Amino acid sequence: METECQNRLPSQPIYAQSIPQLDVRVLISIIQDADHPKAIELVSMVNALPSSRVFTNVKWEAGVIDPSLKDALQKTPVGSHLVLCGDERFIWSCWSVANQAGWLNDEMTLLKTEHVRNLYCVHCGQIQPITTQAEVICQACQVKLFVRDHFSQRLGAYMGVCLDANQPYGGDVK
Amino acid sequence: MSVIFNPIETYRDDFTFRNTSKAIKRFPFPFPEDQYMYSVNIEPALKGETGSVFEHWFDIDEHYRSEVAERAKVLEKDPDRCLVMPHMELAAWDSLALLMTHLASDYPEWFELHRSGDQWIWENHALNLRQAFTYGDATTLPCEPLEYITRQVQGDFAILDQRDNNLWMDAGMVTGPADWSIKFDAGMNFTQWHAPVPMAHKMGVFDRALKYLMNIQVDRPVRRLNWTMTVNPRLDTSSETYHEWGHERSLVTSENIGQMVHLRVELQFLARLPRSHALMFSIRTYLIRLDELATQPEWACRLHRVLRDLPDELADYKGLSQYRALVVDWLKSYDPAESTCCAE
Amino acid sequence: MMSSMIEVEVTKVKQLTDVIREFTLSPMEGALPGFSSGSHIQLHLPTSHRVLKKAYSLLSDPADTSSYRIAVRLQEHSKGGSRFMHEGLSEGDHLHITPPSNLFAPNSSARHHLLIAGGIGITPFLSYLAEFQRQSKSYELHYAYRGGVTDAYVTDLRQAFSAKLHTYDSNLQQRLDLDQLLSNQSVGTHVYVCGPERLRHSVQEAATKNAWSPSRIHWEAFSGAEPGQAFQVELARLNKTLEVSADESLLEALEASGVEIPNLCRGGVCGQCATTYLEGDVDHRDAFLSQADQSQQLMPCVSRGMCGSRIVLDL
Repeated sequence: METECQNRLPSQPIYAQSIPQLDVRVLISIIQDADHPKAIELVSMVNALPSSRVFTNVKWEAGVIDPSLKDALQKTPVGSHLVLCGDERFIWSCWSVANQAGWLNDEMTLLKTEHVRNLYCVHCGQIQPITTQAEVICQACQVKLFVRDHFSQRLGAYMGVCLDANQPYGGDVK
Repeated sequence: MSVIFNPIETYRDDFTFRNTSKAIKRFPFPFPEDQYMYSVNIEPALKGETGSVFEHWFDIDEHYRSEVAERAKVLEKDPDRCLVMPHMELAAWDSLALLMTHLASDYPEWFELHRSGDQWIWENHALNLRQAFTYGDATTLPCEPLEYITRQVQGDFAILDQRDNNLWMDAGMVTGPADWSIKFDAGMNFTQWHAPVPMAHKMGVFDRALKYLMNIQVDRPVRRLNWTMTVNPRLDTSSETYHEWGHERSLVTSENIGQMVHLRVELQFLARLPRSHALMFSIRTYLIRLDELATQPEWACRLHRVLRDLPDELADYKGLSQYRALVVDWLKSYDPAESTCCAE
Repeated sequence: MMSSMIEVEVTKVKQLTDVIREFTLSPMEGALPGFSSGSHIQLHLPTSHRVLKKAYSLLSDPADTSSYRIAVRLQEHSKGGSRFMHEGLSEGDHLHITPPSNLFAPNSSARHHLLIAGGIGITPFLSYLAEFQRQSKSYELHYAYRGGVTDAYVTDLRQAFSAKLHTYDSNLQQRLDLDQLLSNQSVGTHVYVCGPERLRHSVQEAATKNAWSPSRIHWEAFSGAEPGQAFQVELARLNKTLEVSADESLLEALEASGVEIPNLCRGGVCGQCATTYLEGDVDHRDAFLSQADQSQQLMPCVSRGMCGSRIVLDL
């Protein structure tokens, strides 16, 4: 396995550093937690825009979000922009729905709030939430995983791969 | 010249895979020089010498039945190694057509294709299969078309959709990859799925290669060789099974190197699929253990120099670091420059 | 890359309108290579003074490779191509064509395909429609023309695709309102335009006005398919001068004169054929050399001397 890389991998997601100035027809913002400082800043900014729709405290599970929101994402006119604001799990879950509806990456801004992200165990296919750990035990197959920077947008997850093939299972990892 | 198949060999457990001397002679030794570095080493896939691995678009060799059996085993445990996204259905049929027509014309003693409009009959004498089906109608085949045909061909297949100035890995049959995962990489573009390869991005290798590949025309395929090393003749060195095979790297000793360590060469072949405009990327893997390789002393000598001078970053990426020194040492005796001279 | 040429016979010529003719090209034997929606071929036309190379979209159904069909509009100020097609070509004639290639394929991630054709620009879309119908894709076709002059296939289209077809006849003052059309598309739509240059510009303008992402806008880009202009090359060390004609690469010209240059890709990416030049105005077309390298080196597989110029190679 390759060693830790200082630079960003070309597959790693890019999150916005700040909220961009947007000249678009309709701006849709989907917000996980309205009380987060980034969300508050976003709302105050987009509320000033003419065609802005804001969905806050959106209920979601992996790949499944509120049907009315899904409907809104499908019926928006071309030329609109989408801001997804939340932790990485939330962002990529919404991204998947938006992508299905035909949104392009250059029509979306991703605002990351918290370090909660998905890890895909390449050995059994299980996806589990993690934070910033570099090593994790797969909840499904118990393989001790190294968390790589390699990221799949389709799965909305980072790749976890066996850390030590000489001792693949369990062990004293937090 | 007809291919003769070996009795079924295994690529796991007892590892009975062996090359006959004929297979050794046609092995695609990948190093044109004593040093190895990345380059865009892609060339038009012109018809090669009779009997060579470059003779036909899809090389069928003595291991055919064994490799087909190995693929079936992988799929039995992990059916998702074959994956076709809905928008790739046309490309899957395109792949089936391309493979069937080439196999039938290149190996008429083993494969036959009879077409009458969209009514096709496929006969595979090597596996005793006969299938009548309607081209374009997946319900007339025992399984999805890409899976149906690639279960009967050696090598892995990635089918790439071309859009937005990039290539997207949106379908494939990958049961014997060199340490990557189709299940994870599916849906990625060319730059994304090559993300883990060190150094090459900065060298601009992928940008140049991508431009070239997107220009591939119908009936003008291209090819390149890639290589790594594998402990034991294991075809399924996927990321999915790394926790099962990775420890074998630490089993290499100076006594068992010749038996255990294999040079693994991928003949990568890219062809435009005419009807769908997708690209077929086939990865045909050849394995040779060092004992077999050393029957050609000039290969052993060159491999010695390549491995000795390989940058650490590349050796790490290829998973060689644990046993590289042992292999270099073992190969030293085949390098006249080393054995005739005792000075450093 | 050099393409192997295919010999075909003109098996049918059909006058569709006053200025548009359709040609059916059939193989000398067997079937022609398969092709995808949006593909084009190059025809090599033996006009009286030189061989002209012209690219035309294939308009037939990709499921049928027994023949290819193309349609050609007679251009008023034709320098020979369309005039030759209209006046010099008849049934039974033989021609050489390149295998199909595609610079205008439908985008598979689109949820809806919005096709906009002007006049003869309808041709690539005819190959889209057959495939879209079979795959039950969502699409609509907007076709602007001058009735009786550039309205090829409009009757066939009305019969087969009436529900998806919108026509605009300039003789009847029917106008295609692009701003209105593009302001009203739901996300997931991709737009494709083929026709006169000003139609493409108008579509782009309307798309920009409505904040469309450039990745949703597609048009046929034939650039690059045309080889270039003739120029002269001097080989300093060999003391030789060569003429490179418009339809061959510098690499091909060097090879033809017996000069061996190492090469692999023949497409400007592998770097194998990079050659040092000493003088000359070079049209660099490779994707390999850095700008700094290009001041001293060129890649003869794709790069050329500027029109009518002379370059000196260190060979």
